[in-house]
Amino acid sequence: MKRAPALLLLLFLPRLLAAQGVLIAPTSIFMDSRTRTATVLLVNPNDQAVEVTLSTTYGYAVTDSTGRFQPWFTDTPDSTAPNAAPWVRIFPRRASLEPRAQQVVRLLISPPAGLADGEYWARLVVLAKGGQLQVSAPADSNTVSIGLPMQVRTILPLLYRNGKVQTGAEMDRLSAATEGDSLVVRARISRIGNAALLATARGTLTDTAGVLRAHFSLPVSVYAPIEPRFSVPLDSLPRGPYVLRMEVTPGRTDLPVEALLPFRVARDSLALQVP
Amino acid sequence: MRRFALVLGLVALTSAPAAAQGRKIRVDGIRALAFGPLLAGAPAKVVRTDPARSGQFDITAQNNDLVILSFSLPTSMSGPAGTSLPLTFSGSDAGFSQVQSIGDQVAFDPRQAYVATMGQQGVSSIFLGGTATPAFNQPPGVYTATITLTVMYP
Repeated sequence: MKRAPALLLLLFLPRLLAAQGVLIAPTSIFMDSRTRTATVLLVNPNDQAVEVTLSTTYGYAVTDSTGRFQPWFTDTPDSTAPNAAPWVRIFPRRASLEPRAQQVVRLLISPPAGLADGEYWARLVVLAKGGQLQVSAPADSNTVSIGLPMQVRTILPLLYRNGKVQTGAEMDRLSAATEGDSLVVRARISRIGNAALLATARGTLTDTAGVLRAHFSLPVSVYAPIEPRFSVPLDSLPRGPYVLRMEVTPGRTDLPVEALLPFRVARDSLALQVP
Repeated sequence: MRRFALVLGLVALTSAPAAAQGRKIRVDGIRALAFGPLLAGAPAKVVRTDPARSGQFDITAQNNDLVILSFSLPTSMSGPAGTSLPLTFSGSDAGFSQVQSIGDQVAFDPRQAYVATMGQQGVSSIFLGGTATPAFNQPPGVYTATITLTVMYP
């Protein structure tokens, strides 16, 4: 009987999930009109079976009025949107991955005939659900108990390139303003051409002596114009005049080099005063 | 045997078709948000820094990778005979830790998207708290709802 309190305590300890989720590779999918296929590898590295469901949708990352990124998705994009989601077939769409098992998923794209040159976009959605969460049993018939199972959805970019594709960068509205303990830099970055702009945005702050005082860098994927924010801690910037230089350059460390399209660097600068 | 199977899996990963190679991501649900037994009429709050009751997800990816996190959060849980129990999340109920430490989190609003940069170790954690508010006449039983974490590569 002495064990009863301990057993009761165990009963209501939060249940550890046998970790649920899958490993997915790659994290960006590029397809073109020559191959029209791609593969994605799913691995269940855990001790619990995982149910995986794959689908496609249309969307990308946008920035809100404060410059923060957020996802934007729609199942009914504008008819002029370069939406490749309906053309993608997934084999298999559902899989049950036993512990330590893997599954190669094949993607086949079937675009309509006469498709104009350009890049078309979709998002691969991988939904992973683990086994049923055990819910603590009520201690007595008057108890309210809660079970909150968790699932994970991973969304990866899928870019289909048809014929000749090109991209370019434009930057304007460069600004800087103090917000609390930070200098917040913003710039509008747009793409030109018929493909997404996969780039890196970099900024530097130099003082009047030409000494580099701060710098920042961010990989950006531009599908629609974005106006991201970059924060520089003010404690790294003594009061005084500075020159802010910003550029959008080709090159991404997180994407395969062969998938990157060349473009001319976009630059802008402004003089500012740190109060 | 299990280790052998894992090695086989990793070998398979490295010998996968060319298009499947490259960066990888793994997101695991580690610990469910747990309130324990509730008393009717008494709100129960779990803070994101609670090492035993907060929800936890782990993300394994390339160091410095940038991902956009967002939650699909239920506003209530379904219970016996069609009853429901309100569940709320406040502006600081989620936290991101680049170093997987519950004591080293950056708070964020789980009702909005959050841009996270993976840490140097490539494994980061997301913690989640919340508040359940049973009514005075809340029927006893088990109440459930699903929490979904979405991890998006930009």
